[in-house]
This record gives sequence, C-alpha cells and structure tokens, in this order.
Amino acid sequence: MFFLCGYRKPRQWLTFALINIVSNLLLNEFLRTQTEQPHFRELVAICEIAVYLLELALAHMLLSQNIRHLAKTLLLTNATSFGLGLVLTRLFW
Amino acid sequence: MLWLLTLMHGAVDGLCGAVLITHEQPGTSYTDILCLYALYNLIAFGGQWITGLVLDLKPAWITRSLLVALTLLALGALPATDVYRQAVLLGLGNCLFHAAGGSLVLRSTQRFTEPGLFVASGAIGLALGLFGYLPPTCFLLTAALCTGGVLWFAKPVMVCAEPEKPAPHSQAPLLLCVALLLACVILRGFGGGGHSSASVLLFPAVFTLGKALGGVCCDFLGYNRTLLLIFLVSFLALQVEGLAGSVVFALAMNMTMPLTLRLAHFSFPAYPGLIFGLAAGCLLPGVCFGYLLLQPQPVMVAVFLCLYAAGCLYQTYGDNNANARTHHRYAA
Repeated sequence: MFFLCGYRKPRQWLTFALINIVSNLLLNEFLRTQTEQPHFRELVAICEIAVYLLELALAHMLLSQNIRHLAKTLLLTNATSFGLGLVLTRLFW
Repeated sequence: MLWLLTLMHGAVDGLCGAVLITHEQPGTSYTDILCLYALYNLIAFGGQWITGLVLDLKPAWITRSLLVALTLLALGALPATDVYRQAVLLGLGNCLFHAAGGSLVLRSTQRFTEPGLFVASGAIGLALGLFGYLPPTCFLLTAALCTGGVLWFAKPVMVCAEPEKPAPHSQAPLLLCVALLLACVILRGFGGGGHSSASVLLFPAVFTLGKALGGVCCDFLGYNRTLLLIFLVSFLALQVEGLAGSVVFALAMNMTMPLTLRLAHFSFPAYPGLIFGLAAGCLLPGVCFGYLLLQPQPVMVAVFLCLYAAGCLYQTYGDNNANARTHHRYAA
C-alpha cells in the first residue's frame, strides 16, 4: 500500500514499520486491560481513531512529508488492515 | 535571579506543606483535614490565573507582590487557633508567589530551561515539608532570604516588562493552541505516573528532574525532537514493569511541563502571569481527583497529540517575531 501511494524508499518503509509496531503495541496493551468493558466495540473504534492520529503525527514528524498526502495514505492503509483483519477473523476465528 | 526564584519556589511549597501537615494529628477528624486541604488547594491553585492577570496588567506590582506573599506566608505559618484562617493565608501567599514568580521567570528569557527549572523545585520542596524533613522556620527563612535577593536583582527587569499589544490577526488558533496545552496539563494530573515506593522522596525527585530536564532538552534539541524523545522514553517505560518503568514514565511525562508552559506563553506573550496561573489551575483536577487514575497508554498518546497539535498551530499562526526568535527550537 505504501509503495502504491508513492513511498518507495526503504527508509520510509522502515519508519512506517516502526510507527506501526509502536502504535499496535500501545493499542493492544491498552485493550488487553479493557476486555470487561460493556462498550468494548465503541472503545476499539475510538482507539483506532487515536492510533490513526498518532501514526499521522509521528510520520509527519519523522518523514517531513506533505501532511495531506500522509493523511490519505495512512487512512487507506489503516482501513485496509482493519478490514482485512475483520475478514480474517471471520474466516479463521 | 532564576536560582533565587527556584529556591524560593521550593521553600514556599515546603513551608505550606510543613505547616498544613501539623494539623494531621490523631484527634483531628478526616473531614476537617479534607476541608483544610481543599480550601488551601482551591486558593493556591485556583486563584493564580486571576492574580496573574492582575500582575500582567500592573507589572510594576510583581516584585512588591513577592513581599506581600512572604508576609502572608509568615502570618500563615504562625501557630493559629483557627486552622481555616491559616489555610487561607497560606493559600493566598502561595498563589501570589506563584503568579509573581512565574510571571518574572517567563518574562526574563525566551528559553525553555528557565521555566522548567523554576517549576521543578516545587515538588521536592513540598515533599520535604510534608514528610517533615525540615521545619517550617527553615523554609520561611529561606523564602525570606530569597525574597530579599529577588527584590534586589529584579528591579532592572521591570523597566522593559510592559505587556505587548495583541496581534492584529485572529486569536482563535492560538486560543486553541493554549487550550490543547492546558488539556495536556490536566491529563498529566490523572496519569502522569506515580507508584507506591519505600522512599517517599523518590517520585518528588523524579518529578523535579523531569521538569528540569524537559526544558534543557528542548533548548538543545528543539521542540519537535524533544517531543519525540518524550514519546519514545515513555513508550519504552511502559514496556518495563514495576517501579523502574513507573519512574521512567513519570520522568518522561514531567518533561512535558516546560514545553506546555513556554509554548502557551509564546502564544500570548503579553500575559505570562495569566498563562502560568491557568497552567497551575489545570493541576487542580489532578490534585482533587487524582485517585481516578487513567491507564498510562491513552494518557501518553493524548498528551503527545495535544503537544504536537499545539506545536503545529503555533508554528502556523504564532507571532512572527517569536517564530524567528525560536525558529531553531522548532526544527524537526
């Protein structure tokens, strides 16, 4: 997805990978403590928005790229990975 | 003068802590103690913004108000029959000192180190007072000596410390910038780190070090790099369980204090007292409802996002002169 959106340098991929590792660790560390929440789905949705904003801020600070293009790319990649995650969960869970 | 104000900050907070703790005796009811602390905190934290605003409008009163603050604190430290009167006097003295001292420090330089150092000494001073390491007399004497020194050195500063005229463009983005920074202060109060420890001075010392380090780092590395450093350190701290992780997390969270304070001041340079007072007022929810601790991950992310957004807003809409002055500190 990043390649298709124009980010084709290995340094950029490495940065996106590191940002994703950090954001996913934070998200899962937090959600692990919230499984008993009655509104867990809504909480996940809010957390996904927070993760998107965090990734956008980190990518903007580390890559110094156009923020609008970064915002579109990250929206696309996050939506794809979230959708793919849902499909895989339905298929194999 | 900065060192005198920093020392005085520790002494003032220590004095208030040392005097208030004397009322925590076996015979005193829990409700009375709670009311006493609530009254003191409400005046000391909640009154700073209005005191700061008055001092911004009347800058010539700043140094004189330090003397008034010392008098109020000395009266509050006297053994009084009415404990509430004591709480009011100490609260007023503390409030006046913070508004005046904070205003003086923010006016004196354009760097991040000075406000960081100034706010740093409060935590350790308060802990020394609350846990009875030093008697109230010792704190009062230190505060009196420091006031004398500040009054001696501060005179030339006041001549060029008139409030600047507001910028002609819309202030809404800068108001949003300040609101984000204040939100950051509130959030930190609910999840800025802390842990039960055998050493009662450990966390106050960590808070002190964090605040001082944040300002120094920002002057050396720039705002954006310091923000990244804080994020990275707090993220790594969350991966370590136990006391060590809590200590590093508290250190990282406290490093944001000088950033919030200075950036808010840059947004409204004519109102250093008001800005300092508002930031202090935002500590009040954490002081009163600190037991409602939030999870560290959302706090850390929210604090980072608030500081990042505030930095972007300031870079885009901030005062051009201030931008030029601090350009190197915002380089990514």
